[in-house]
Amino acid sequence: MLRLEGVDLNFPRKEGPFSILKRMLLKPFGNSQAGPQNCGLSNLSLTIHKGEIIGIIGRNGSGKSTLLRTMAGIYKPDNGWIGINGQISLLAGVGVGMNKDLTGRENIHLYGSMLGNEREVMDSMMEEIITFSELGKFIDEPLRTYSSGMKARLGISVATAVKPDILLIDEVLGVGDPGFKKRSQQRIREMMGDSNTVVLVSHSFGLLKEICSRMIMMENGKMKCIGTPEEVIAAYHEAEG
Amino acid sequence: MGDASNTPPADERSQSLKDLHPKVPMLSSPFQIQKNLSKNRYLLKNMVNRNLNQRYNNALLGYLWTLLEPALLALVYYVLFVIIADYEDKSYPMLILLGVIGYGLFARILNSTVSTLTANSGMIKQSGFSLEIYSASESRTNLVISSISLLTIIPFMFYLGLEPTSTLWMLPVAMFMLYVSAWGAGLMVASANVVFPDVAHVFRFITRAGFFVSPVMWTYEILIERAGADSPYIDIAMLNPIVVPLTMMKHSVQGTIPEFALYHIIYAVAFPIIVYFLGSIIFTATSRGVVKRL
Repeated sequence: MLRLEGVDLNFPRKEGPFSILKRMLLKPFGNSQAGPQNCGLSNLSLTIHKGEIIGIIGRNGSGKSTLLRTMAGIYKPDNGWIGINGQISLLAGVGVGMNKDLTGRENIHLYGSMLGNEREVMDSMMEEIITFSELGKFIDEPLRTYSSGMKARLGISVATAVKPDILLIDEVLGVGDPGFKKRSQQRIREMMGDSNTVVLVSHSFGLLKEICSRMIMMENGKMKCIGTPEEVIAAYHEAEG
Repeated sequence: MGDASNTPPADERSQSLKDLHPKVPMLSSPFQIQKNLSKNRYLLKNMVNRNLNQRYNNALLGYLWTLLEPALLALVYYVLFVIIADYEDKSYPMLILLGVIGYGLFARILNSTVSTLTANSGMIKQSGFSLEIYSASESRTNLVISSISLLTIIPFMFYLGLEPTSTLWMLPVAMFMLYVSAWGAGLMVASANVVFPDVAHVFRFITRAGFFVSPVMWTYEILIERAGADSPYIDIAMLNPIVVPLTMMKHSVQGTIPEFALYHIIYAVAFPIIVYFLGSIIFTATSRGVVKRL
């Protein structure tokens, strides 16, 4: 379970070191004025229950990825509270955290440990991950020889194999050939069956409609609406005109 | 279809939910950091392997460079001081090499920790694990490299007829003191470096200048001899917290115990502890907040 209560997050805009210094020096004398900021998330409250698959849609810059990173604990909200129950993992890009000079097998250990797993767990899942990723003999080749699709397959295979309680996926589920996409979706559904929670950001409405139990539409850092996939996708098209 | 109306009142917060950003009491930060590192030791090990791999994997001689670099340096010192300058003290090149290895460890850890957040910004924005793991893995990588480099001292010991004695215990202790001092000092300013990138430049200058005011090219004994044991300049020189550990490194191999004033020893031992405590408190309180600026 994951709960956000009144979460505000602002990104400081670029400003000169002297104005930052001036503000810091005046702070003890009662100057509480914040520097120039861009709104990342505004007064966002949301509860995601165990076993749900939530899709997040919105235009570029609407705050989808910021919301996901805030849920993952990367960004600390300026105001509000976030509570979680269980282990949380973020799959935020192709090959993130992997090393190009290490082999696929070594990267499974590296990436798996980044997701909070111990050596024994990764050893026990190794064969399953290799089979699911369909990398075959490439698994013992350095990552630099992989295509971006192969890297994404490896990342998704590790992230979904370790079955975190809450898995956050940012736009990487639509990668790979149709066969791999289908199997990834199947695995996400299985996670739901195992009472794992999945939150995914995607522009692929067809995919979201097929696998999500609820969807959220973001606009300017605010949660514009939340509901069934059909309702939210319709609202998105309406807003787009 | 709903909107933000599914907000539960704060008083209905489930007891089973854990705060994603729990407040860490100020004085528990140093212990919390150690707890995080212990919890993530497998990740730490993998990251150290990754760092080593990144540095040496594509080189023709690979990991041999950890030995080759100081060995070549030692050769240069030998030619300079023993053959050309004809120094009476034949152990001088070895002492310089020990100083270079020890000081290199301190400077590399300090500089990498100061810029730990900016250097890893890409990964920090994509993964949510504890931020101290980045600097800890880099610091441990440097510790591994410096420890391997120390093997180049062995041929010198044979050449000078020095046998390993019980004073060798000072070697790991001194390196640990350098490691903790540099890591702690780096943690103190790592967040400030995100807001003011000048901090990294200042520290790079400090470590370059520090090379000359630390006993790398000179020894504590030379200082005493030139300035006089009662000179006030000794106390000033000893404000540099790495004089004691670097001198310990040199004496550990020579089989002798350095003669420091008690208050100099207390200062040298207290410095890494205090700096580590302050560094972890400041880093824990500020690091997550500055991620938005990366």
